[in-house]
Amino acid sequence: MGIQKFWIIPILVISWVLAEGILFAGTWDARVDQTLHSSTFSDRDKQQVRTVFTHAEQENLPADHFLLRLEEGVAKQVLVHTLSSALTKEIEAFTQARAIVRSTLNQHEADILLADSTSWSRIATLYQQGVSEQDLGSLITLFNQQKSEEKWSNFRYGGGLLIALRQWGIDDSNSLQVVEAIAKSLIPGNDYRLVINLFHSGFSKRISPEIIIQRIIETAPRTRSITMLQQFIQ
Amino acid sequence: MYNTKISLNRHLISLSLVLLVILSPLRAQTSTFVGILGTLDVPSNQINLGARGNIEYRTQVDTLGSLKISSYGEVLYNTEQQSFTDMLTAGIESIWYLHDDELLASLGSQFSLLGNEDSDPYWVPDWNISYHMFRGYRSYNPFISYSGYATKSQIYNGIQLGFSYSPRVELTYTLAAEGGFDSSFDSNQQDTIASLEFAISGLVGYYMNWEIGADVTWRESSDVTQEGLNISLAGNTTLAFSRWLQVQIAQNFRGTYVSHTRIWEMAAELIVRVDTAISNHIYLYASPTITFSNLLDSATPTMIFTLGVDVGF
Repeated sequence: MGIQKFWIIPILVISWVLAEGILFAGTWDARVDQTLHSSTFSDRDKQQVRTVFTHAEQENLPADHFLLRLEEGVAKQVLVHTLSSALTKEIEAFTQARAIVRSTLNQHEADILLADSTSWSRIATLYQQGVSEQDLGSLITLFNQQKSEEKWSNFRYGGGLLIALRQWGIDDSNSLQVVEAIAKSLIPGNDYRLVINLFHSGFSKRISPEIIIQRIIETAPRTRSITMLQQFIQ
Repeated sequence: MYNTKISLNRHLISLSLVLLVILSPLRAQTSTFVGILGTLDVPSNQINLGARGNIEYRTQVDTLGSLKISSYGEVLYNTEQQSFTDMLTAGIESIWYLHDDELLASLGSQFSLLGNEDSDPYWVPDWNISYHMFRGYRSYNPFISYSGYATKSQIYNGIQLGFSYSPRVELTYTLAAEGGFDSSFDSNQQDTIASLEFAISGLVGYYMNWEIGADVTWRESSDVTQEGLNISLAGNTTLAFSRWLQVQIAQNFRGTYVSHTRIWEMAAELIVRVDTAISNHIYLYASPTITFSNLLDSATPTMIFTLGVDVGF
């Protein structure tokens, strides 16, 4: 009798795990259906969106990111064609981002990075914003060399700085060199955005961005804080 | 005798500007710019034409600290009064890092060789030594500083204690209290000054910085006509749209209450400045400044339009 009771516990645990898996899998579809239900899309349009999600599921992409995009699109009453097209482009970017990560890092490191959907999403965003595969590979390699436990969080801030510098008017090569120099410093990631202030105050002092860049490249790897970098170069 | 002195001073200024241009190629650790500018005062319609220049040299002592030497000069010629005015500053600043903390010592001076419409030639040296502790975000970062300045008739010495606090990178609060003594050389007058400063600064996205500051100062004086309260409020926003365009909007308000007369005087100023880089080295700027010298009467505000070109090296 006692032995029979002993076997009941693992059976219950396995049943619970399987049930959770089924429920979790159902949640993905259920959330898509629930969101589509609140939309004004026709049945044909809804099927089109479901096809996109089936594709994302087959590709093992992070579901939550695309669900949020769907909910956002439905709330803003975006046309189904535009929404499907945007989702498809994002799926392509995520797939491409994964390929870049896998070709840059070893299997173990790539798995760790891709398990963090925020970092994966940032790589996809950088790719969509025109950062070349080569530059993305360089950035991933560089931040992977950081000894900090926050290296992938720092990578996300570094990616944000790269885009901001390019939008402000710094060319691709120089902006990448700035982020590379900052990545070699001990400056915490959430201070990276303050780097662009060096260019703003340089503008006021009539120091050209190219001179600021040169000084950052020379100085940043030896600095511990953004205030130190600021004092050293201006 | 006076004319000889003015002529000598003009030569000194000219020599300084020439030196600025000659020294500018030594740019490895030097930042330099020179420029010309013109201003139009409304409603007096007076025109000033002038030149300005800046030179800064900095050097780094490994990761321990840095040293910066800087000077700025501006000379204006009033076409109606046919007279020159000038304003020059020079300073040396040294910063040392003790782990994450910062020890700063500076020595500077502001002076005028020709004087300006409000004063004769003057020299005002100033000094500062401060220690700022940095403990990171969501921590109080205390600082202490001793500073002072002197004119030909007075000397001020003050100590400031305060802290800064940043809950996140986009927002920083600063609160500081200062106490100081202002002593006159000409008389036995000794004033005690107490002030409280508060500032909030922040970022919006990557391209907008803003700052709001308030300062309340009480002067206790043996001369009752000097005793009173000063309140100033200032706001400043910088929009750096791109490497080619930057816009700055600043507002200042100053209220002065003299205990003896029990009268308030209030003044305000609005400055809008647009800077544009037309190449990597040439910058154009335009700036209207509107000043309400006394808000409590109906005096017409004055405006100064400034237009200038700078060349950076």
